[in-house]
Amino acid sequence: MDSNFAIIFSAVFISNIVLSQFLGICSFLGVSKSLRNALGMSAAVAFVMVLASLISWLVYYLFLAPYDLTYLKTIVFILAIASLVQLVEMFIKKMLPALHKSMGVFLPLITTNCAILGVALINIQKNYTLWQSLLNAVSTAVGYTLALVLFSCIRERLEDSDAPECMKNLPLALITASCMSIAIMGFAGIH
Amino acid sequence: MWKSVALVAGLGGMFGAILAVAGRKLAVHTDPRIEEITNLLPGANCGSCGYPGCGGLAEAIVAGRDGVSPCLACSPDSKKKIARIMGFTGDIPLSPDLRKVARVACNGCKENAPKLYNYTGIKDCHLVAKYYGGPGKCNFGCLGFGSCVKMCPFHAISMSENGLPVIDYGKCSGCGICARQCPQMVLYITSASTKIHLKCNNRDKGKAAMVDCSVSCISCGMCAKVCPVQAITMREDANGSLPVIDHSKCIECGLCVQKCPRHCLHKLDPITTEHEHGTVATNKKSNCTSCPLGESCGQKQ
Repeated sequence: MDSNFAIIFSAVFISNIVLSQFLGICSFLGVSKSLRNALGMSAAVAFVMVLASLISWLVYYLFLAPYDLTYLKTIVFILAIASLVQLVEMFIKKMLPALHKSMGVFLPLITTNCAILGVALINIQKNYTLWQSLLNAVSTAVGYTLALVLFSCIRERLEDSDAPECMKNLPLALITASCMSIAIMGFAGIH
Repeated sequence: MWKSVALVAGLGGMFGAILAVAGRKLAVHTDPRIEEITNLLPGANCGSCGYPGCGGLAEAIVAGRDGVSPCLACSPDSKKKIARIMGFTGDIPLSPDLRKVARVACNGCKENAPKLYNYTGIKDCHLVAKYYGGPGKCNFGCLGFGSCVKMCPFHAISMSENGLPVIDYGKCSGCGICARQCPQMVLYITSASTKIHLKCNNRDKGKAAMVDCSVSCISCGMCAKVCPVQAITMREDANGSLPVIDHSKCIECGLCVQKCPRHCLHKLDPITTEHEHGTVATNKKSNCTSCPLGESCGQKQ
């Protein structure tokens, strides 16, 4: 069993969800053009990640484990997370219209984000308790925010740089992402 | 196997039922007109109307807080459709004068404006303006690094070879974002039907202005003197001096254009229905569209 600190440090740096495990790349590349959007997306991901960890942990230990159906976890988690996000979106739209306006566009985007499902599955794989799962989800979200915010800052600067035409936008972004990934790889082995 | 089928079906059914109930309980009734009007608005979310994006204006229209008039970018046709949605019947008068467009108040192309130094840094007007007022000798003119091009939500501005922005009036909606963000205040919003324009922003006087650029306004006041209807006044204040054209008085005789010793007053084609929204202007004659000499100057880039 890992200690709390180990879980946090591992999720934020050593096995950073984006830069080390390469999950959630589509949103990482898609929503990182401006810092504002990146922050909104990170907040939405953090929110959904924690909820998804909670629901998937409950579904796993209440429905799947007692009946020896653990091999179904991937498909059941997708089902559970998708319906949960739908429910949450409806709830926010009704109760908190202001929050829905700022976060609403990102919610449907991350319903089936691989980072969300990834965290849910990692929690089960590593035999985390409910508390540890939630901690892991929060720290993974912090790691995701870290990667996305740094990346979007760099991309905003690159926008104004005098890059060759063929390298502008996505090619440069991919190279930047790989450089950031290499930097994060420096943490490997600290575990 | 039956166990797994039953479990997935059961869970799916349960989640479905929860969502169905929640859909009923948490349904938010939105006016369908809001979406219809949002679709008719330009969708650029430029914010010139004072509301947060086109959706914000649509909500205000439906709530009766505002009309469609604050939207500068909306075509007359769409405005009529919106009026119909909101229940107006009969004839809807729409004056063509309502249309506003952006104009460039500078003619300092590469040939006209001498350079003070060469700049090789980040290509952004706001940044360049901080280095001794830009690389050109004139501290008031267009810097030519195209910050307006980047900002225009309608992609109506492009930089021509001669270093000045060219506005595609098929796309320009007069939202004014370019005018607000231009660090030199070279771009301005004006009624589409006006013809006489000052294509200079130099606020210096006499020799100081003359050495800056070959087509700079030296504030001699000739235009104000010759104007038969006194539509031009010389404005002098802390910001410097420039002639100001009162378009409500101007009869577009073109006398000032002929008399201006520096050739900085121009008679331009008004933007008419030829440049209707959504159609691309076809009357592009040469690369020097912003230059008064146009094709006659012979200097092709």
